[in-house]
Amino acid sequence: MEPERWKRIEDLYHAALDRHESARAAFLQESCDGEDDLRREVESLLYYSQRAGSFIETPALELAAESFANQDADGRVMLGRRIGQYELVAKLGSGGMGEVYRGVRADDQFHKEVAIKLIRQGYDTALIVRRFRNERQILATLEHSNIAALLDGGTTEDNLPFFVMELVEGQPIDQYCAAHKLDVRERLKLFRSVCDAVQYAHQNLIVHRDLKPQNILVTAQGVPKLLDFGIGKILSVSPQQSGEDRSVTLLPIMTPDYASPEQVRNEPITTATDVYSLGAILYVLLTGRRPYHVSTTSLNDIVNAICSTEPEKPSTAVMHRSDPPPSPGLGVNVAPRSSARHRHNATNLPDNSGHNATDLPQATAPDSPISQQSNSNALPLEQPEKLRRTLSGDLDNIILKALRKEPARRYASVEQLSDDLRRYLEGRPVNAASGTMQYRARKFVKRHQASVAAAILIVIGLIVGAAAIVREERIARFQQQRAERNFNDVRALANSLMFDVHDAIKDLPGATKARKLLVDRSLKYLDRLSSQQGNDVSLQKELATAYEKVGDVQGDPHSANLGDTTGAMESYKKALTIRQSVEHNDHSEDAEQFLATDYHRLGLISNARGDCPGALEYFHQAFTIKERILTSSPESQESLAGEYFATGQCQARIKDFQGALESYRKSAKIRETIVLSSPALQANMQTRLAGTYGYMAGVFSSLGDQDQAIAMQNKSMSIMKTLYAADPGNATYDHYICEGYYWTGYYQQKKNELAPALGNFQQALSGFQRISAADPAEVRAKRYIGYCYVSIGTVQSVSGHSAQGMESLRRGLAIAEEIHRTDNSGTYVTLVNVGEAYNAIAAAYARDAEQPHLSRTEKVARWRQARSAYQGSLNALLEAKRLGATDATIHGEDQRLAGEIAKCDARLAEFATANAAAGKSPK
Amino acid sequence: MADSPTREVTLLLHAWEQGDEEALKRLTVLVYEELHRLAKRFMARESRGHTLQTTALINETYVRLVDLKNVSWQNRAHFFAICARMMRRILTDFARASHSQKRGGEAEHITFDEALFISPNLPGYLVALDEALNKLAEKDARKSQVVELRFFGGLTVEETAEILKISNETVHRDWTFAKGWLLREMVHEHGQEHRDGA
Repeated sequence: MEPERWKRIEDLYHAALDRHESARAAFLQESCDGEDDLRREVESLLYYSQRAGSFIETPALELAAESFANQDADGRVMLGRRIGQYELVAKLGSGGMGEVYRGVRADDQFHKEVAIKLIRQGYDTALIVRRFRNERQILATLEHSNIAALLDGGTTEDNLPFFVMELVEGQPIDQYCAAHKLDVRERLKLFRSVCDAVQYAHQNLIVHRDLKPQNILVTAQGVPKLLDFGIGKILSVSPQQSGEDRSVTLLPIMTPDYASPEQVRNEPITTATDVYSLGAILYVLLTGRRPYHVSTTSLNDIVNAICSTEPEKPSTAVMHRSDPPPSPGLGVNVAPRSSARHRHNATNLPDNSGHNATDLPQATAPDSPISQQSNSNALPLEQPEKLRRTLSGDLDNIILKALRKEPARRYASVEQLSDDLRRYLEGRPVNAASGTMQYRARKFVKRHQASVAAAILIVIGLIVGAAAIVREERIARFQQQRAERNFNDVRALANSLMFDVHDAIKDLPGATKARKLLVDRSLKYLDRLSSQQGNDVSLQKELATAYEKVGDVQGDPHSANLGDTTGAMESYKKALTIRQSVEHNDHSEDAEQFLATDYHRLGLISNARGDCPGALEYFHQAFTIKERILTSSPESQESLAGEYFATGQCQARIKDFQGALESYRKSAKIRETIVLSSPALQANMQTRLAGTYGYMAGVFSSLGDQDQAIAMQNKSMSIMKTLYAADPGNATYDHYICEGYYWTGYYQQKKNELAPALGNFQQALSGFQRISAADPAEVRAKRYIGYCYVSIGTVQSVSGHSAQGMESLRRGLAIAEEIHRTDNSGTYVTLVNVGEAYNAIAAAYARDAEQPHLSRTEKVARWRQARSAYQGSLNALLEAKRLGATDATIHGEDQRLAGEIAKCDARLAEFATANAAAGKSPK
Repeated sequence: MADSPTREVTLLLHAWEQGDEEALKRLTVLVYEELHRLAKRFMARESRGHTLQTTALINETYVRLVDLKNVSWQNRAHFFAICARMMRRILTDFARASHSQKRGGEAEHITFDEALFISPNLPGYLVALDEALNKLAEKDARKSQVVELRFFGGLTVEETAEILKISNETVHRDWTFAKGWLLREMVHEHGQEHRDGA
């Protein structure tokens, strides 16, 4: 309608409204002067305005408040509820099995958004949850850009199983293809990336079991994402019903349109099952029709159609495109759609027959214009005849090969299906085709049109010549295929060794050697493959990962390792070199992150090897990268803070205390900011911050500033005490607080404030004893108990309570020795502690020996004890060094101890000389 | 108010103006959360339908979201417009989600009684209104905005006038006209003669 008319209507409307009701009719009659349409329009508006009353006068939110706050199709209040760590904020869709919600992390201010699938009541919840637990490990390894990650799962308070998945916003692949009017080649390319993802999952021993367009969403960026990986297996639980046809139990899980014969027959599921479903999806994508047209909901008919009927050739099927679309049939995927512009749940299904709506759709973008029911999914740009010609031959063969009834006659892997499609796209012979010479010659000619044309001109014996070329081509092809198959098999094997097998045995005690063997073997394979195919980036990344894993096995200080730090350095360096070349072409944050991680690993190993300057160099590289890719996210910030922290520790070890202080300060500053800005991360960050302060205290102490050290330690303690007050059962906090007492005492002792030091040591001791009693396996507390006794003994001894002191010291030594005896981690730290205890005992005896009131015999006895304890300390130290101890704290200790022993010997010699002299004279 | 998201909202508004689409997403979540909180408050009230209380509650929500004193006028107008738009979207999406059996292809219509909430059908009401508002926007964007700000945004006539930079009087006139027009659009019974010929 033209704006002028609208304006006139409006003006007349208001003019009429300004008049008395009784005068309006006449006014309009006059003003409109024969334009009856106009008059009627204004009258109609006046009529409705008069009746409007309270219409839209109450704000929407107030009207909606009640139902908005209490929403759920089943009458449950779901929105706003917490499921696990997530709060449900919106409903994305629903299906026969349950609902899908948008969730945000309730405890995280960054609001990571996820999709949460709630499974309706009526399933064997306990079984689902048990299966999920069993599968979780495997599912967690699925990391692929085309697979939506399964993040979590469990049961809600009212005992409904749920799954938390990466939130994907996109359109189902069939709708996406239609909406973007993709042509055959584009559809094939998109479909091949789906194949990649499925193949990746298969390599990880996971079969999807329920592939269908609704489970493959394509994002606005055109990236397909597979949903629900692993859920099919977990959910293949019968609803709680019995006594019916066994195939009934399948229906809630799979979508008959894409289900394979073995699935409807309840036979074993293998990767071939997914090959079949992919074939069915490709069929739909290219023809707009499903392979089978079942016009009944009878289970027998469905089973029959899938197991006995041969699907129509795709090229024939497209010729029926003008036919009415298949009837709703199986009762799935056929919801009549509204014309609503915003349809969050385009795949939302009415649960019309109680047992068959299987979908749990994720978010579907608004404006999904296509109802799958219509044939609008088909390729819009191509005429049926042209499309028929395109599909006829290779594509018919490929799709039908994927759809074979017998799993063994399908493609042996998704990769082979995908490869055949690639060959088709490249104009090469496909494996699905019958390998006649005629077929191959046709392909060959098509691909080498120019050279063949030249051959026609030049070669006289045309037919002979062409036949020869074809034969050569065939041999070459055969070899190449064999090589390719070989290549991929080896790669899959190597990855499986490296990831599945390795990770499966990783935590078994004593598995280190086996891990090394596995990782070595896969490394060798990958190495050979990569030298064959140097430019394959994903292979390069796998290779780098392999080297990193080898390095971890060889010497990762944070887990059981072979102690081969030289080997570990080399492996990490190789990984680094590969990552650098990858990063050269790929400046993504991910690539940089990997680089930084490798530098960090190298830093840790160098540090463990005692090469602090080297470690510092690597940490410097790591934090330089992290500074560059720094974002405001607390993860990124904390990662950098951690790097500064590691740097600080390294600097402290080489006694660059100023540098260490500087690094700790940087680390602390970041963590202070995170604490302020991310309340959700409070506890964790506060703990780390307290740790940083604690280390700073140590540095101050080393610098001789005990007052600063004590102040810093207090700062650290007060954080921990606040945290502990809020969470009184937290053993970790308890432990840190006790450590705080210990170190405060330690600094006070250095200041010679013996009484308060003793008080703190005793407080620490009773705390650690409490912790240790509650958890006897907790070795750290036990170790501190040893430290406490040693420190208490020393203070007592210094204060003149020799006997008491010695008793404490002996206890400390006994604990250190016991820990060392029972330790089987192969670390030298336990020995260092034994050495320290001996040293403290020796020092106490030596101190005691100097007391003037003692008799000569008593003095000699004490010097002997001192000497023997120093010797014990030296022995422990040398043994620790033999095991690889290189800490700066023990640097020069052996000389010092040797010096002490020499001093004891000298004193003993003095007494001997004096004795000898005395012996000459009469007693 | 320690957990007030105001600072974040202000930053997000700026970021969004700079073209950061992520900011809008985050903003939506915040507004959504506030809406939820507000919905719960509505539920908890003693007397329903007390307009003054309603306005006060809604205003409180805005204050929680944005420190209005420290935001430029332009940003403020912008902010209210966004909020109203978001509330509309959230509520309409919500209505659609719980409004499952729908006739395909046809526009949504409801009865008089439903429109006046004599027989409440909230999902149908919101969906129909949303569709009618879209049609109104094609003809007269400002009127549709007035309704969006007042009905979905819960703003008063004065606030609406300030945001759209028009007089109170104009808001009144637009409102009256739009009410009649929308009501007719929503309850349109087939074959009725009172139709816009266009």
